[in-house]
Amino acid sequence: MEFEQKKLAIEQGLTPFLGGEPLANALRLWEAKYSRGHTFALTGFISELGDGAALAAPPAKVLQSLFRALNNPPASLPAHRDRAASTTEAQGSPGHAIHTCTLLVDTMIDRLPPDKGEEIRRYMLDHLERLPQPTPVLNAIRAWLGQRRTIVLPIPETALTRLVNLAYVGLCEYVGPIKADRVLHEAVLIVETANAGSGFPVRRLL
Amino acid sequence: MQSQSLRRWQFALALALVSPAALAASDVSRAAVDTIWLATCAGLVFLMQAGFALLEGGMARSKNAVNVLMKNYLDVCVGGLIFWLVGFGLMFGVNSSGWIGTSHFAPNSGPDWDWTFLFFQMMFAATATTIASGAMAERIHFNAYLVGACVISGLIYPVFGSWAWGGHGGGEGWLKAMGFVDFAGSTVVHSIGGWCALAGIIVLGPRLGRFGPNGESRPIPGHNLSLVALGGFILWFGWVGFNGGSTLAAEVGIGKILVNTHLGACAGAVGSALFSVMLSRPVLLTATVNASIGGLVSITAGCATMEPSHAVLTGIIAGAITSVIPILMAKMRWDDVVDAISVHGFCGVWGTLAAGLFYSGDLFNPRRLAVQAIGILAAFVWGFGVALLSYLLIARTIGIRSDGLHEQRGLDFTEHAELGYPEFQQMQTFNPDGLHR
Repeated sequence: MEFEQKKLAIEQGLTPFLGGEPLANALRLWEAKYSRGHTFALTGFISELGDGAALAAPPAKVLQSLFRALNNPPASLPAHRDRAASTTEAQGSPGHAIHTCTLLVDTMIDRLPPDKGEEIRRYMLDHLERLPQPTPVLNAIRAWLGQRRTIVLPIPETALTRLVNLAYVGLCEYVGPIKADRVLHEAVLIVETANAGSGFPVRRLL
Repeated sequence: MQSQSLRRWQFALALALVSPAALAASDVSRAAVDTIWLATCAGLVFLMQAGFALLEGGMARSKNAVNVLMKNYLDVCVGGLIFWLVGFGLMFGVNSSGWIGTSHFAPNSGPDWDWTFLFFQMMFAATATTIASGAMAERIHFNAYLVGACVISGLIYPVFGSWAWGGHGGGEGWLKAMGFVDFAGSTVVHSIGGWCALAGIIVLGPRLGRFGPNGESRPIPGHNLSLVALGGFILWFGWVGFNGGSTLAAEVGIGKILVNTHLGACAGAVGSALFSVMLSRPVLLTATVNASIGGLVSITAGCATMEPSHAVLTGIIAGAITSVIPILMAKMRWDDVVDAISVHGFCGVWGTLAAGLFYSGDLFNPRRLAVQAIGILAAFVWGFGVALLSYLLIARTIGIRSDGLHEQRGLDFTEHAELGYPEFQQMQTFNPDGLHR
């Protein structure tokens, strides 16, 4: 099965359980981490979706649905034009914002020595309650910070801005404000280049 | 023959000068000269605001430069109005109790001299108010700062001023009656400003990352040392009016006051440099500028009543104070952006003691020293106490501390939507689209 067809099958399999932005995020997660893996890697995919609280349905049921979709004939998959339309709609959407935000914070942290990077992650985990967000969202952010799992829940842009700021405050605490400014600035430039054409300007998170 | 004729002319001139008409004319011209001198000095003291703005602006990061300038600019405006409205009356109104002035509020009429005096004192109030600005830079809400400035210029400064200098409208302040010597305000203006700053930084807390997780001090350098140096020079220049004008008259003794003032500043800077050399530390520009201002602050109390050699000694010790106190402040995790507390608060204390110690013709008089100590203590208790309560109240009501996002973006962006250097500010710590109004 071709990559695009496989993706459409995953989408079809997830549709009974997810819609809108969570579905788009889940597809992005599959694309980033599981699209090149064997079919049995889908259990990990479903497990990660469950950790992010995106899925309320029993994992076995979701897995069954995904297998069925992957085994269906290509003709039964959603039309390409529908898919293209949904992709266009997602440009500049919260999904892109989340992706940009996590990329920015990861880039900031990656620019530090590993021990400092870990300190910043720990600092962010310890101070996550500063973000006035529902528990599932905070859990999803914890999973991203602690286990590098992709966030698949929608998060408002203002909260993402606060998340970037939390990383900045952590940088100030552990490496000082002068270096924090420089690291943030350099990370913004890197993400701007890497994210060009994503439809979501990274500066909106500052 | 020629010398005889000259003597005759001199005699005739002397006769003319002592005649009633000539005397009256002399009084008028005397008042006019005094007015010109005091108005000029008031202008020089006003120029000190520019000095403060440059010094503090240069010591702040570029993303907070506009905020610092705006605080300096507007505290003069707000403070000027408040001082005219209530401050002048509290400080110089009829002071029969010795504790507070009770007349001359929002003055609209009065003798000519009162306007000159009010104008000069208004500039002093602005100086006391603006001292706190630099210490609290880079993390205080603009509105909260302005409310604090109103409290300083409308209550804290004038009430203490009425104790030490009160009596223009009648009566006498209790400290003044005890013989407290503070010629131009080492304590009245500078220490009071310094103690208000101390209260402010305690309530505010340090800037993000100023101290590491283990308490280590992390210096946050200012963005423009040229501005710092220029600000230092302008302040020094303005001090000519600050101390020279405190005679409140065009007197022949002004020369010595100005020499002492200048020597105090020179000795402060040299004292600090020597201190650094002795400790094998680099002689920093910011420390040197601050030390010269510390020298000026310390000589302010006794510049009219001490000999130049003592002025030098006073300045040298002030230089050492400006080198030592910031280290102690950092150990306490108190973040004073411009070291205003050591320069104004502590050098003010030393200068007031020095004015008692080195009082010309009455050196080291323990009684005088005790009075000076009482004045210093009273200034701390009143200035720090009321400022602490005020800032705590401000924090509880309108909020005083900018949050982390504001510190990331810089207060220029979050408080003023304006950048100090729009064409050169390269750091991407905020979304520039937010500036489009």
